[in-house]
Amino acid sequence: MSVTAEQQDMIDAARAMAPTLLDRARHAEENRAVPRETFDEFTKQGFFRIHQPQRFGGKGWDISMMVRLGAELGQGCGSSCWIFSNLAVQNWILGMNNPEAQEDVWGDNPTALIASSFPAKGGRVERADGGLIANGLWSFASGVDFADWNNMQVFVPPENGEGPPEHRFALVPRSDYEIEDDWFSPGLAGTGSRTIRLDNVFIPEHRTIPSTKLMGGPSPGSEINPGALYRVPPLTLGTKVFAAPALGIAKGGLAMIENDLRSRNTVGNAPMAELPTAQARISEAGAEIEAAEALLLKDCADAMAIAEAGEVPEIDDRARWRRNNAFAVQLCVRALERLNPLVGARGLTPENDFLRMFRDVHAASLQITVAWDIQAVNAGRIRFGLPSLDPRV
Amino acid sequence: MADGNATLAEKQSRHDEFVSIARSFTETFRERASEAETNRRLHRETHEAMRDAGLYRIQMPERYGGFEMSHRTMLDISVEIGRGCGSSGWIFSNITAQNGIVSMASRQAQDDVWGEDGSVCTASSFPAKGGKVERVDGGLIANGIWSFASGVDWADWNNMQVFVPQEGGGVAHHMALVPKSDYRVIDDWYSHGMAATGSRSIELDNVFIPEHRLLNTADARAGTTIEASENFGPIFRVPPMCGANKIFSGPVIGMARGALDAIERDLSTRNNVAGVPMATLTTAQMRVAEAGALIEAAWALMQRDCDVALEIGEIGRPTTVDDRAFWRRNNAYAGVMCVKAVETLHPLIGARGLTPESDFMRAYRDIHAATMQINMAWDRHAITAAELQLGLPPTDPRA
Repeated sequence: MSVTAEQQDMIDAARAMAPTLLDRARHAEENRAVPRETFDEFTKQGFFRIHQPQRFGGKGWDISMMVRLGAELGQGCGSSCWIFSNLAVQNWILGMNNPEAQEDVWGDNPTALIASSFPAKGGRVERADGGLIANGLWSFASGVDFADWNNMQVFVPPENGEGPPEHRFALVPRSDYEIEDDWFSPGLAGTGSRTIRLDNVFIPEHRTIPSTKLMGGPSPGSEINPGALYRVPPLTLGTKVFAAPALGIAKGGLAMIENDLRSRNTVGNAPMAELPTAQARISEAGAEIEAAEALLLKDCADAMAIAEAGEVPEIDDRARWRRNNAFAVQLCVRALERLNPLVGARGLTPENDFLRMFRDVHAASLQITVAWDIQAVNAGRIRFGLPSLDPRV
Repeated sequence: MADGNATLAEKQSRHDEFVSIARSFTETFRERASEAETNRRLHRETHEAMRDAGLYRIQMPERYGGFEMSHRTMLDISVEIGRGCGSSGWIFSNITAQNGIVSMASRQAQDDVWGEDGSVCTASSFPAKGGKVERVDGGLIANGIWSFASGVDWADWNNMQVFVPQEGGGVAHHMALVPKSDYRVIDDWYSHGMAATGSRSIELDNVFIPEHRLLNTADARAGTTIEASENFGPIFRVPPMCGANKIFSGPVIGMARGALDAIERDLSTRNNVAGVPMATLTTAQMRVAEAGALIEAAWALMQRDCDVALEIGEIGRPTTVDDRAFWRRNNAYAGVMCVKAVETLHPLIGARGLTPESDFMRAYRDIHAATMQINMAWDRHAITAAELQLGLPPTDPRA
């Protein structure tokens, strides 16, 4: 898939921003928040609206643009990139949601942004007349500092008390939750992916959507948003939201090491660049990162081709995209692991950019939809015709 | 069509058509693969099926009935064929790529090869056993043995790699075309991997090669041979040593896919000694997933490099040493990933797989042999790319 001139301009803008993001990255990490000026610049460039439906003023561009922009922004600051991709992806997911929910969020404010969260600390919902009642904590709300809404992942108890709970997304406005400042992660610290607390909040039915309606093919939102993008499954192809920053971070890490090695000598006063062991590490890391990028873009192209042909992806495709996505993140982690010995003990400072990227890529790889063990096993099971272990695949 | 006359949609549909023909061969070629290995040559029907379907012509000039298609098409076809039989994939891509390289030689050389019959095939060879050329009036004299002539069983010509001594010392790398009447085939291909390629040696005794049948590869790289070749299409602007190295990675990706197919087939029905279906073992699921991801990443990387090379060819700018070094690095790395994939799968075959007929074990042998080809040698290409990345001059003369 080639990019248009307008898309290339945005990619170039992201590339031009990376050095500034790098300058601010240490500060963002210490503050455990992306600076407001970075957020404002992203807003001004239109980064958050790349996947938003055109009827609300968005671009409606395919998911490869998230990968392409992430590959640039992540080279400066992994956390800023993560906030970009997480807020941008929610605008895509809302485009597939019930038209009434889209109107609730964007009707008065088409630039409203949505973060997301997961009930890792035990938030619960119960069924109520006309909707759900939510209580407790939802975590990992990347982008919560800038969001007007939160699209929570919820597990709805079965109606008759039997069988597994139903996985849904449930939208709540900013006025419905408190933010708990509990994000003290050693990696991706700048994302400020804090927890939100809900106390007996009613969520109307139309603001909830079961993930089974987001498996590719027509979605509730595709009735009003005709582009093929709104027929691509967000829970499988959309996991690029986590791989895109990992790709950018890995590229940034490689660039740090390259620049360092160009001017550094060993204790024996030999140029580091002439050491074949250093060269082999540089090349293998570079090839791993390029393979990760090619794989991510190929998945995006495959998914769009299926949607454009009016077809529905098979479960084998969906599991394969998740597998490939997790594998791409693995390649990025391996690349920085491979480069780590070249930093040397001189790099062991809190300000070291490579080591922040090293922390960030490892943190990114813990997100469950890019966790290799889980995605690999599930994809392997599906290859053998066994049932999926994850209801969201 | 040449020179961008075909629309993108037409090109894509022709690409899809050729790949689908190749896919229709996969199973038949797989059934023949074990016998071909024993014979140390492909079945004549295999060669004729590929020839008659026009697969060898995808990189030939339209003037001779060719299609002038991207390296991407060659790559994707060789993946499908190599999936059934690695050696068949290798012969397909080697003959096809030579047609592309012959197209970079002089118009007269192309007429010599295809003037009467556009289906004539050309193999290639390398002087690993010490073949030598010397300069004479109007051309070269060649003596000795040139090896690894994949496709020699089906070829009427051989495009030999030669190192021509230069007046000021040193050598210049050329391709030199000789008709089959000029050489004798030596049956010395007893490799345990890719046995069916029949990549035998040829011997030349005092053979004169006229100047117009020589292609200086440094000139081809610089784009200065285009005028004389009269082939102006974008694929002929991609230098032979970087576009065409997909000759080797394409079949390798196919072999890895074939190996994965064999394991998936086997594990879908097999129980372990405790009566538990192998497919339910988490370790087996992990291995299948990792191999699948490695192979798909390798393929995506090669497709992307083909697309980028064609874009550069279409713009018409000469490639830079960086372009070439990173393509070659990636090409070798695709091989590394595919070898890792079959190594990852290997423990799943079990001792029951230790038979001469096992599809998995043949793919495993083939892929290890295929990655010995110097274009697939990771150590070599990793270092060259890193040298450039770190601002040092490249130590590989062909970079």
